[in-house]
Amino acid sequence: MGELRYRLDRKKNIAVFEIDTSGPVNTIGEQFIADLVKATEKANSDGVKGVVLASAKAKSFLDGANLMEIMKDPSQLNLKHVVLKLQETLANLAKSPFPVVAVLTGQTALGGGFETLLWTCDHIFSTTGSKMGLPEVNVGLFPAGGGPETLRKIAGLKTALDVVMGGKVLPAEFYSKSGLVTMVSKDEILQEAEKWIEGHQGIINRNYDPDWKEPDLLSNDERQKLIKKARARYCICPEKPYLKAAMDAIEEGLDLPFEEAVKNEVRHFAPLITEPNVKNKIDLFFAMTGIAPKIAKVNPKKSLSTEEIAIIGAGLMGQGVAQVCADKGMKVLLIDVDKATAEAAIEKIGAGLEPLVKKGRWLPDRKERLMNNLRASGDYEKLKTIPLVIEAVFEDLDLKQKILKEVQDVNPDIIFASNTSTIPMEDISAKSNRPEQVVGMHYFSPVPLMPLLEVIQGPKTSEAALATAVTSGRRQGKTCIVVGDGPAFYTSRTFGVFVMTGFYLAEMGLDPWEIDRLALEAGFPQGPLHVYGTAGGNVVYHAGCFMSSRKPDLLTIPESVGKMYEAGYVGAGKPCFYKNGMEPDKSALEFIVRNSSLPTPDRDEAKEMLLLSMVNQAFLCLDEGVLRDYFSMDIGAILGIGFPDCWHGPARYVSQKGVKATLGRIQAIYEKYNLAFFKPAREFEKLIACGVDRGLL
Amino acid sequence: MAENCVIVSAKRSPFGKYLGSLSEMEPLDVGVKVAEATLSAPGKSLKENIDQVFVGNCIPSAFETGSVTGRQIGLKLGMDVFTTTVDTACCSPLTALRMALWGMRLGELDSALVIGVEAMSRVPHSSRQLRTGVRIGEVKLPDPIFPINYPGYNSVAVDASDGAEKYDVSKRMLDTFAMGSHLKWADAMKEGKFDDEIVPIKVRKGRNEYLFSQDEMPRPNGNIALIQMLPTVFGAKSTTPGNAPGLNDGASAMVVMTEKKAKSLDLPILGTIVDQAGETDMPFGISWIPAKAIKKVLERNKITIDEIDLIEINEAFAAMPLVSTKILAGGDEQKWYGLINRTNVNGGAVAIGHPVGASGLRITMTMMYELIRRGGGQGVAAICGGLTQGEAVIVRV
Repeated sequence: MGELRYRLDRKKNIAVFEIDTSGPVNTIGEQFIADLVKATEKANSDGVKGVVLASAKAKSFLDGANLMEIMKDPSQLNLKHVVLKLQETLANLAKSPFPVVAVLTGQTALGGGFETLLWTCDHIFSTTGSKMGLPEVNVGLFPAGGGPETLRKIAGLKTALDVVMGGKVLPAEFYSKSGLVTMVSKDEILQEAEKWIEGHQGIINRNYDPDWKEPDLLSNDERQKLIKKARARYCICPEKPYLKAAMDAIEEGLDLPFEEAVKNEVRHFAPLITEPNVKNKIDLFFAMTGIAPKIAKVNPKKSLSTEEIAIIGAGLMGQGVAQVCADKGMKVLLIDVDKATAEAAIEKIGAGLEPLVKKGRWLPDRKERLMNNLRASGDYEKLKTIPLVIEAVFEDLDLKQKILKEVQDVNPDIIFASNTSTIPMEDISAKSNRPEQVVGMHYFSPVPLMPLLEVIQGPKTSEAALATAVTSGRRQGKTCIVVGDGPAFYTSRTFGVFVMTGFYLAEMGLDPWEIDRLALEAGFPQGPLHVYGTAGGNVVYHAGCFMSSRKPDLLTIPESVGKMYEAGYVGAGKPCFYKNGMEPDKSALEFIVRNSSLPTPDRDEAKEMLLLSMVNQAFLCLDEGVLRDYFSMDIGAILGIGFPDCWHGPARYVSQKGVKATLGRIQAIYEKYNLAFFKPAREFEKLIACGVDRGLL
Repeated sequence: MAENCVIVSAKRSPFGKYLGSLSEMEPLDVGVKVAEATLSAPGKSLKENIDQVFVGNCIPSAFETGSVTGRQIGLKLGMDVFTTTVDTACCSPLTALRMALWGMRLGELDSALVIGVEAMSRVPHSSRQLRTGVRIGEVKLPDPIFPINYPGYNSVAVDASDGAEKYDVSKRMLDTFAMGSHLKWADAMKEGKFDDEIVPIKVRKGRNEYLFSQDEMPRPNGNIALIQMLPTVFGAKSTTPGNAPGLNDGASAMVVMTEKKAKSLDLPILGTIVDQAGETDMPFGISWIPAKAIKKVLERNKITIDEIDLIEINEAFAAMPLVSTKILAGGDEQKWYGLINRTNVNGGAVAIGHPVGASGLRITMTMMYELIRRGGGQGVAAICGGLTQGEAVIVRV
């Protein structure tokens, strides 16, 4: 057996199924299923007392379906065949007369892997550090290996909905509450498993036990309420058919016997593979895992050492960058106006990590190592021996220029990376006589959680400065895209225009909260007016003003934005469009200036305008040399600014809709509403001239 | 005024990919099959009515005996008429056509069979060391097609990307045009447009025998983003396998006649060869020589580029059509896009493939058949050749 080893301990009469599939992580493919069939048959014919499922891989127990294999024959028929075969195999193991337990030692059991455990195992032993979950919706699918049913049986409907619909992966500890998972130490895990098998001979798998009581069993009414709520939350966007399919499977499963419910899952699952937006999600997964790590093309030999790094500005961003760098083993010097301020910031970092340690998400020595890598200072003299400094002060050109001068006075050879979301490198380095040392590193907040880093190559940025920024960024675990210089670069500019489009729609007479809802229907994670508050109205306003001062023919700030800003409606603790999180604050309406010279778009057109506002900006960035390739366009849009992931990004959106059709719509919107930022990018015309109507990405 | 010269028949083989369907067939036989089909396409055999044969080929070492390959093909066809084999690199088949035109204009010929043939899969590695024996040390077996260059000069991939840089054609534009080539081919294929020109050929590959009837190179399911990820080759700044054609096998052929002769034989006239011209420039000017050749032939005939309905510029690299149309547009961006829009409308060598000695006739007939489908018009086809010679031909339908 190639991907699953069968080992029988004859003395104890217990068999171990050791999973070791080809590839860096264990995945479920046709070979694995065939091996599991054989191993199950063998355990039965050997008359074992029990089976232990284990993995030979250090980090991976069993991490879902082999997507590569599926995409080789992405047909309904094939998918149906594979999933039914897996279900049959799992059922045979589960119904075998012996107990089945799994041992996880700091490994992950994801998707089909977790479903294998949920279906077949009578018990699971795990050390801390293991994770389990059902992330299928993140790749445009849903768990159809019995997941919704089997998880509900141990954790109840509410948890099943959260995990399946949210695509969640949680620490093993989370499931120990259910009684299925027992946390043990690595030394005794196998012993415990064997002991459990000895003590539970004759146990009936709960999925087939008519007397099994689902936890938190709810009345029909309560169940319907939960389902309705989940539908409203997850199925708002019709472009995400996988969420609807998952919801339908879960709901219908409530009234079906187990074996019919799991078959019904396949009925909803198989047709998904023909949906273009499902392919988009699968492709996006491959782009993020395979291509994203290498899209920023730099010469690593040109990079200076990234062992030590300095950060100027110990505010929220500076702290975030410092934390990430220190966590990845870099020595960090955190500099602010004086040492005490910087020290206080380091203390704050420590305090922020404490809950993670307390909850068991982080081991205490991880935090300790991180804190040991942090030093505070108020003195630029220390920069003399450090190769790279990241400046993370306010978005103020004079201040940034002043700091650059002070830094270069101390160490002219240092690479100066500015964390800015809008100010071009050309401006920051305008007064420097070493502009080639200056590069941009645009982080996203909160830094430890946001995976994207937009590295900005100014017209004079040297190859060494660029390589150092990218190498350091990658070491910090960030996905780097390299963009050219220009006001607000790629992501801020595109995001800013999206938010402004939201305000313009309000000025055209649409209800602000309806606009946000339409954005959710279009697939955005948050509406433009909601995001205005969560990203911070101050930031949005200042960035918008900067953009419109540099590109007056592109962007005029809607009057309402200024009015809200002046009235202090800027969110982040201050009033905004929402109060207490999600509750509309109608008082914001008084700042919306109705522009009756413009027509009011209907719902579909408004949704389209939100999407196309981002699409057109992305292509304008190609025109202006800020963006250079389509993978950076799509990965940046998804990771940085919340472009609907079901479309894979602006480039795929245009490929799918057709270049001519997209250009036609943008042109029509531009003519109807006379908004400058809808003036179509020239790139569309070039594509059409070259005969490209699809096939951008 | 000289005789009016017309095309009465034009066919080609499907183009095979490197080591693909045509790679196990003798190139002589590929040439013969295509020529036979061309000679009989008008419904009766024209063999008896051909005064001379002209054959273009670029890399003769692919043949068993790489000398008078044209005569070898002619004899296999059973045609004992004077046969000329010419090598002007990728210009060869259009130079062969131009020689036929000379003959007809001079009155020496009334008709000619013109053939272009290439078999890049069959080019042998070769060594000059073996002739005298090797006393000690390695035997070097250079590959004449990797890269394609001439002693003392850059590889053509480098010259092409330098030309793109000189005329400010971005790498993204090259990659976009390359993807467009595949997509335009796919659309044309779907509409059956290549049925007019392709002769299916029975081939043997390994143990399989089958009818080879469709170009093998195109990859319309790719995308620009993936092309952008490919590394550059041979030290070029922007040339990658994605914006270049492959190394291909194939043959194409035409029968041309004076209009008088065609009429006397009651043959259908597919198109008229208005004029042809050859042109040269500095050896590195390979990306813009099609523009120079086109200008020359248009000016001589007092035709402006705006009066041209279709343009074919061989995609030796994506740089050639882009640089050349940009020059023809006089640097006017909008006019440039307009010209690109009329260039290689059914895809080009990046998709279809570039059997170097066969492409010249291929672009001419692809353009001619498209003019016929559109109900007439005039087009210009141009190709660049090694060490920067160019051929251009105006065809009117």
